Amino acid sequence: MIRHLFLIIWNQKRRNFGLILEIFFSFLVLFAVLTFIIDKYNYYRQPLGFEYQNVWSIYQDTKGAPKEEVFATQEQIRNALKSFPEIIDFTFTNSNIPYGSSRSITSLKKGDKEIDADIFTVDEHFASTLGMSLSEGRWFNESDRAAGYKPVIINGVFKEEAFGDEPAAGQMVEDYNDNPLKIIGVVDQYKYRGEFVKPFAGFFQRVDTTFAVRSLLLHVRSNADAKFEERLNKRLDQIASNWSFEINYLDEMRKSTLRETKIPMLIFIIISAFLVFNVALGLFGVLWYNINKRKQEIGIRRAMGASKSGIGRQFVGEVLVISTLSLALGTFFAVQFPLLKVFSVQAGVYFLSIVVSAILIYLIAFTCSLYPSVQAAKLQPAVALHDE
Amino acid sequence: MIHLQNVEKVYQTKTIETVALNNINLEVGKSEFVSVMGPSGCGKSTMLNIMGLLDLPSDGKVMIDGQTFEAYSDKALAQFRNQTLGFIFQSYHLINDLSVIDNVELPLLYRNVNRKERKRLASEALEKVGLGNRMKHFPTQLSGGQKQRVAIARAIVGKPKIILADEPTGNLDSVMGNEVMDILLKLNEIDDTTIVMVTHDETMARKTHRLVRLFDGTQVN
Repeated sequence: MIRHLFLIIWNQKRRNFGLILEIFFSFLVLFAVLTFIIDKYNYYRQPLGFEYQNVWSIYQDTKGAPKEEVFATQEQIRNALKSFPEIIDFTFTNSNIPYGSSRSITSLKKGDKEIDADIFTVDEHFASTLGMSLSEGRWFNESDRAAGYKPVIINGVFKEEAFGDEPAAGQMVEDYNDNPLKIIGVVDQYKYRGEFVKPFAGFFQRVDTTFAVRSLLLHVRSNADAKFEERLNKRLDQIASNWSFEINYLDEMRKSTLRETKIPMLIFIIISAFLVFNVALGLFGVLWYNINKRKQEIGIRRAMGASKSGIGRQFVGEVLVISTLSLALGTFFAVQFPLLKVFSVQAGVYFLSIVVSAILIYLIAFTCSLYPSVQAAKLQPAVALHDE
Repeated sequence: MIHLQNVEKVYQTKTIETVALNNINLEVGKSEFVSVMGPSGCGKSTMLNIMGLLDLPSDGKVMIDGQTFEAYSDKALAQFRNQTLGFIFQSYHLINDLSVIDNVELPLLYRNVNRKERKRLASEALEKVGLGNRMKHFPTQLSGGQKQRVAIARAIVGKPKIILADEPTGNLDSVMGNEVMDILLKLNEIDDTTIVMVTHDETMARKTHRLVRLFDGTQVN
C-alpha cells in the first residue's frame, strides 16, 4: 500500500508540487527557529559559573584623574567599604563585568596554537565576591605579588582549546609579546555575557599598577536596601567628591541581558507559529479541495473493496508521503549547515532541530489531514460514484 | 446467487419522500446473465447499487451468494465486495492518475496480493480484453471503448462470481458497444460469471438470458 501511495503522489506530482514546496519551506523555517532556540537553551543549561544575586556593581568615573590619584582614592574606598556590615565581600575589576556591555579580547599562545580569549583584570577577591569555584589550582593571593612570573587563571573553554583533557594548572602560555604567563588555576565556567551566550575562552590576570580598573563589585547581604545604598553613595562622595559613581544590580542587569535574547526568540517563535498556522490552513484547504475533487475515486475504491478506514488511511497516508518528500528535500538542505559548518552551532543541535522539525511537520500534516480524511471515509460509495 | 426480497429504497429529505424502489423481488441464478431496463430515474442504478452493497435498502432483504449482511461490519462488507463482486460503470470510472495496469490491479491491492502476482493477474486480465499492449498507458490516452475494456479487466481481475454492469455500453458507439457486449457474453459463457447489466439498449438486452423491467421503482415483469 505504501508503494501505491508513493505511486499516486508521483503520478500527481504537478498537482502536489505546491504542497511539497509549502511544507518544505515551513520545515526550513521551523528548523531555523528550533536551531536558534535549542542552541540558546543548550547554553542556558550550562552552569553560569558565578553568583549574581545580591551583587552590586559600581562604576567609578574618575573624570580623567591620574593613575596614582586613582590608586590612592581606591585604597580609601577599599578601607571605607570594609566598615559597612552590609558588605560581605568586594572586588575591583576592569569594566567587562558580568552582564556588562564591555568586552576585552586578546590572544594567548600555547606552542603553535593561538587562542583568542577574553581578558579579565581582577583582584584577589573577585572569585569570593562572585562565589566562583576552581576546578584546578587556586585563585590569586598575596604571594603572587612577589612571584617571579605573571600568574593567570584560565576558564574551561580556554583549557579545552589549549590543553584538552590534560591538567592546565602549572603550565605556561605566552601573551602576544611572547611574555610567559603561568597558569595557577582553572575555573570551569564564567559566562559573564549571560546564560544564552556561547562560552568563549577567557583568562583572568591580576590587577597591578600598570593601569587602574574602574569597576567595583560588591557582594552585599540580602537586607542591603535603599538606605544602605544612600549611605554608601554618601560615603563614596566624601572620599571622591569629584568622581561620579553609578550603582547597578547584577540581577537587574541579568534580566536586561536575558531580554536581549528572549525578545528576538519570542519574535521568531511568533513568526514561525504564524507561518506554520498558515501552512496548516493551506494544507487543510488543499486536502479538502482534493477530497472533493476525488469523490468519484473514493467511490471507485469503495466499490473495489476499500473499507471506510482504508479510505481514511489512504488520504492521511498521501499527506504523510507528501510530507516525507518535502522533509527529504528539506533535510538535504538542513544537513548542509552542520556539514559546511555555516554557523558556530554544534552539529548535534542541527540534527536535533531536524528531528524535532520533522516530527512537528508530521504532526501538523497528520492533524490537518485527519478531518478531511474522516469526511472522505464517511462518503457513501453510491453517492460518491455519482458525483460529477 | 442474488436474491432481493421485498426490497424498498426511499430517499427522504425534510420536505419530500422519494420512493426509488418499491417492493422488489428478484432472484438471479448462478451463471445467469440478466439485463435490467427501464426509463431514466426508474431505480435501475439504485437496484444495482443495493445488489453491489454500495447502498443499503430502506427495507427488505438482500442475499448474495448465500449471505445476508445485516450483521456485517463496514470492513466485512468491503471484503465481500472485493472477493465476490465486480463493477463496470457507464462512465468507466477509471482513476486518471493511475496507469491502465495500476487501475486493473486495484481490487487485488485491497486483497493484499503481492505486487508480482498483482502484475501477473492484471496483465492476464488486460490480455483477455485485448489491451495487453496498453498497460503503461493512462486512461486519458485511451478511447471510450478501450476505457470500458480496462474497466472490464478491473472487474474480472479478482475473478468475482458476480459482475454488476451499469450501462456498460451507454457511452459507446455501436461497434465498441458490441465489442464490450461480446466480452461480457464470453465471461458469462466461459467463466460462468453471473452478470446483472443495466441497459437502455434493447438490442443488447436481448442478448442476455433474461430481461427485468422497472418502472417508477417497481418491477413490471
